[in-house]
Amino acid sequence: MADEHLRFAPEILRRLGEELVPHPDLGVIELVRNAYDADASSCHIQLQDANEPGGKIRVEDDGVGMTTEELRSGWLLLGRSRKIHADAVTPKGRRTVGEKGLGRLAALRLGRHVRLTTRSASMPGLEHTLLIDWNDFDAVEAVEDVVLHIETRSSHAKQGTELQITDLVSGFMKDDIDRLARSLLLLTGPFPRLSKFPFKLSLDAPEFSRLKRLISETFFDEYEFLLTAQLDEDGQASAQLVDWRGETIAIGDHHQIGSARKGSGRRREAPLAYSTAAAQFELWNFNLSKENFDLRSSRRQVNEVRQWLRAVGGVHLYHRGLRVHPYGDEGHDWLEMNLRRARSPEVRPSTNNAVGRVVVTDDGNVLTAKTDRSGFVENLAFVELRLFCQDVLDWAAQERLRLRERRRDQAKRESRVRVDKAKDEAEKALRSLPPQAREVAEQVTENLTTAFEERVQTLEDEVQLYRTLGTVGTTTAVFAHESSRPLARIEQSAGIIDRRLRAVLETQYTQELERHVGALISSAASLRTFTDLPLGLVSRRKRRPAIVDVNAAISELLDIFEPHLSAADIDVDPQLSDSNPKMRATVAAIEAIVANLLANAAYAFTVPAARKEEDRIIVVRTATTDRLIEISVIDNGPGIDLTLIDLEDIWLPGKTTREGGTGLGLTIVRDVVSDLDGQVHVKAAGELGGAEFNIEMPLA
Amino acid sequence: MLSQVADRPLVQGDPVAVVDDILEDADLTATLVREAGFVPVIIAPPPPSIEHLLSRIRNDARALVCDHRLTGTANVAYYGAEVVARSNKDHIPAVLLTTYADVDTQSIRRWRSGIPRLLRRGRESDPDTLFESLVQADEEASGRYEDNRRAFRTVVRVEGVRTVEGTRVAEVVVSAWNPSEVVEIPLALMAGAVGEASDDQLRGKRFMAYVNIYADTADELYFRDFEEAPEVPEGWPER
Repeated sequence: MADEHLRFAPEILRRLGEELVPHPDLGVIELVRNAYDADASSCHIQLQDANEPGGKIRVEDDGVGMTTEELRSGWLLLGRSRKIHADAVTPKGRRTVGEKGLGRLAALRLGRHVRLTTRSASMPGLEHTLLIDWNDFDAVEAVEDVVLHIETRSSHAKQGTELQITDLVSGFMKDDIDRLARSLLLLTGPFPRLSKFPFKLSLDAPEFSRLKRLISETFFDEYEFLLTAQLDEDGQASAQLVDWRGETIAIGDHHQIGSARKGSGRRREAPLAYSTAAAQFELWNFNLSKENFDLRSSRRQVNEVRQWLRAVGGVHLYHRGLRVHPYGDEGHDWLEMNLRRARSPEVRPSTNNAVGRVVVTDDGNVLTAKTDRSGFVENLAFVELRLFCQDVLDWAAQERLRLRERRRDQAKRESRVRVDKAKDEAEKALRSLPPQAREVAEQVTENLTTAFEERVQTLEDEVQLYRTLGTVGTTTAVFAHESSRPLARIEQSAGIIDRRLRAVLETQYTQELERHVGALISSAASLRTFTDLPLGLVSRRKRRPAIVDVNAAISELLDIFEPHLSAADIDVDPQLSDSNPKMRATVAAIEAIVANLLANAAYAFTVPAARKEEDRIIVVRTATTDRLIEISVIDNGPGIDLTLIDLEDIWLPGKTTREGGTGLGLTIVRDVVSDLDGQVHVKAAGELGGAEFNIEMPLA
Repeated sequence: MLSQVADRPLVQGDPVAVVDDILEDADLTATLVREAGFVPVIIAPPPPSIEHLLSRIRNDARALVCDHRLTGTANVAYYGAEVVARSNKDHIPAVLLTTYADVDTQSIRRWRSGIPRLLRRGRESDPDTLFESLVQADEEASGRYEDNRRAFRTVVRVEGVRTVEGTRVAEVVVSAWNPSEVVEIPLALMAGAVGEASDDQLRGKRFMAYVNIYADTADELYFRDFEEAPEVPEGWPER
């Protein structure tokens, strides 16, 4: 029996290299991460004619280099997981970040030839060189058939590693270079206090210099709000929100943060703990308005900050000191800040007005890098980390809303104080006038004050009235809404009973039960009017100012009223103008006018023994003149009893002749018509003998 | 256990899942399902995870009738509209049956592209309509759309943006559907295309999206795949 081995065809190199890691910049970044793991304090990348095939990439660092053994068991061994040496810490105290080596393979495969030169800190005076010619792999059957040689010679150069990838297969596109420049600059970040051991990166590309200039001038001190949050080793969260003055706005504990998020309109329970690595989250939120910059006496230009944010904005994730692609990249809003802002823009940060970082060391290795180096696998630990950050954002938004409300209340109180102060000052000024002028001025001021107070009183009364109406409306809408479900149940059940009994009892059903079930069905349809009407009236669509087709709005309303009116044996005669009148209004306004007048007319027929005619008729008419539309609601009921109410008083709030009436319907009609620049006239006994209301309003 | 996707059309006698948070309503719907010739499988209340619910539907039923508001008695974080849309995507024909079709317009609109038929409980809950609706959903699952459900790439113009009951809503006009009617849609549907534009910048802005422009009414409209529209060529008259 012979010993055998699994062997890999050379094509596997392409699969695991360039196909798995699609962007060349990701591979280069992986080489830089290797330099970081080698404790380098600087790493320089040179692109020579790299924008076209045949070019060259050179990556050089001053790290601890590699011995021949480290080359063999580390650099040349592809696919080995970090988990094998999970607790590895470099002499400088860095947690290693390299993974599997597939990103490195992708970088090496960018060219046809690779030359690695390394000098280990542990074996000074020696330099090892390794050459790879990818053409050799095309000629063999299996990867391991190509023999690679490590050459060692003496050298006086300093420790470090240099990698040259030559004869590039294809050139770097401009986008690749831009991405590489940004990735390098953000790899250690523009943020303050990230790493104890600086790691200096450079790239000799013009884009890098431009971006470096832009990014290195930081604007963190221009924030309006700074949010900092911590997640400790036990998964407990805490956070604080500070404003630009440095004043703490709010401090949140684990429970407050965990329950801040709203899902499906209800508050969520805080989790016992977030099951992820300890983390720190900081977010600098900027207010990019000139007013805010002036308020803070900033000497910076809004535009400068805006451009800087365009380059660095978003929340970046730093794992063991280095940024993890693609979190915070353009189009990768992993905390859904923009979506949340789109849903509710008030006091929410977005990737364009905020920059932040989440810093994770991950001692327990709970986060797992994806093989293609595009971030972390979305396992429980990652999902919980993201949840923690999102909860913190929700908590901050909630606290900022509360702050705004507190300020609004304060402004209200202060305005009263300001009025009193202004009065005092005016009185003082009057007293200082000569007696003759004082008398005139006092009179004028008093008149002005009285007029002003009357105006305020009128507005306050109106606010009070509409608050009452608002309560009536919202209560009605709530009841209508809540009635919908049992009503639907009645309709559905009645339908089932009708169909089942008809099938089972046949003639007996039609003779004995059909009319009772029919009554049930038609009563439910009538009830439906009462739920649909208020819900329809509060529909947002109807409250939008627009050019309203008046006939259409009235017809829709009459349809809604139809079951109710026909149950009361009232015929509505719509006499709608052929000219199809349109006016600038809201559908809700037209409905408010006609619905209230219809309700009044319908009630009139229910007054005992007052009806003169056999048939109950309500005419709803529209007509136009040159510039006006006229809407009339005319009934043949008993008319308005002038012994009970003066005609001019019918518009007053609370005045009604109807038992249990609110007395608000005609007040609404008057106010709505007035808002639409119209006029309303009433006849106690009109064209059909009953009440007649005529409304004139301007056409569109 | 049923296979995930049946390789034959839906027929009477097939099991149909009935999902509702209120058992009484589920029971009524089940009767309707039975009258329509199917075998009801009641899932009430639904489980907290939508994944579990979809998995149960896949295992136990060949089609689905689902209520929209499932949070009345159940502690769930999803709407029935999402369940129906995802079920149809899984090739399990599903229809939404709700009392609040005219109220919950935004939460339904978000998933409307995956909801072939929306039935109003009470008024539109008779066995014939239910049968027709499930058959239509089954047809859509096989890629056959009725004209009023077929989406075309068209221009969508934003008239305004408002916050309504905590939801950001865009008022849009789809001229290819009706040039004079404003339709409200959740802004979240457009989030990817809107970027960071302010409300003022959005007003008057045009987007391209897939919309079923042959829909009869506004509540049947659905929108998907928004992207920014190309600039209007210079010299074109402004509206």
